[in-house]
Amino acid sequence: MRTEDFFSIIDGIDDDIVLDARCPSENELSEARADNRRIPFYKWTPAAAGILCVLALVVMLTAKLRSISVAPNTSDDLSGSSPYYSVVMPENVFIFDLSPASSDNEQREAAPKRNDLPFAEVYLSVRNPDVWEKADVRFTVCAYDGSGRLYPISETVRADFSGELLRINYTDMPQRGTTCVLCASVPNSDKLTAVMLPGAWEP
Amino acid sequence: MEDNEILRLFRERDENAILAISRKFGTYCRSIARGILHNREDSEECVNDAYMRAWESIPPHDPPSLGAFLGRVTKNLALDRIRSERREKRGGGETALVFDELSEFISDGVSVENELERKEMSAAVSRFLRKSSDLHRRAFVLRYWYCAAVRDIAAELGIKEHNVSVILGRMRHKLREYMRKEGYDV
Repeated sequence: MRTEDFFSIIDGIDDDIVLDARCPSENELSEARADNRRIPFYKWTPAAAGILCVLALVVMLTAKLRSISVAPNTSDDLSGSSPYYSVVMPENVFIFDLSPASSDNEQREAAPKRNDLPFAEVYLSVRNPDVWEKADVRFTVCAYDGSGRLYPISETVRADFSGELLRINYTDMPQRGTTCVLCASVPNSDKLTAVMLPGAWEP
Repeated sequence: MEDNEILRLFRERDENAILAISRKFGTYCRSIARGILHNREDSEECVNDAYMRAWESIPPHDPPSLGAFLGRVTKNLALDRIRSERREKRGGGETALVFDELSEFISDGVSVENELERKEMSAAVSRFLRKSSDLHRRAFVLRYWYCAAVRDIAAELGIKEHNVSVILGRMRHKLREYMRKEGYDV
């Protein structure tokens, strides 16, 4: 058999197997949390869906779009014994790039001027963008120092999937070797609802 | 927008269908292309080609899963591009490694006679994967369907790279045994 024949056989495996490969099972997530392992994606569960729907409803009813951002002065709220903070993502989330847009290493290391801050480019794909936008999810890039604390190092931006490319300005340059994670929060909640990408970033 | 709504736009030849799939599946397709091509511009072109391929094939094709269909088209277009580059000796990278792994695993001399046999073998591989553990199945699919690098699979599954290699080796061995039991000589 030619390699390409076999490749085409693999290509024809069932769709659900292909799609499921990109999101972890609940069992894995439980094990990972117990082991404190790094897990990139969180899976939607009905409970989390309910929580987000209620939050969205509260936001709409009160017509107060209060922003509980993951600002530096709330970093204590984000501390804990694990870098994985409860809850799950409301969709299967794919994030592919947390590296700054700039490829200039010197610029990254040299504490740039504010207007020269590089971007964190984050690609997000969700199955139902409307749900995210209605829930008014906010994203922040945080640094994880390995001690159980997360430190916001970027501005907080609202979920907007129209362009799909989420660009977030750094407010603090992460140090070389910092593990950067993308965090999601929702208004009217004083805690971080999810940590999505434990991706080690090597400037 | 739901898949069936997007498919309706395709059937009505409404160009908003392209916008809809771009919004819903663009990042997914881009990630597949980038995982194979490792080049942003090439990946963008590849994804745009995939949209065009979808526009040309739907209708009459009516994919049961639009996401998987687009992912598959994107992957195959990216692989075609890689093959073309390899012919021109301009690389190969991770995909070449995947091909090498598979070429060690399969034997020469047996050919797949027709499309029906190919589909039957794909179904057998699917059955094998369903019997495998979540972790092993995902590692296998990420490597041999998505052509992901071992490093990326390790990060995605939260395990060490060495463990990924061990899992893939065992999966290849088990798959060969399974296929032989099913009557296929791979």
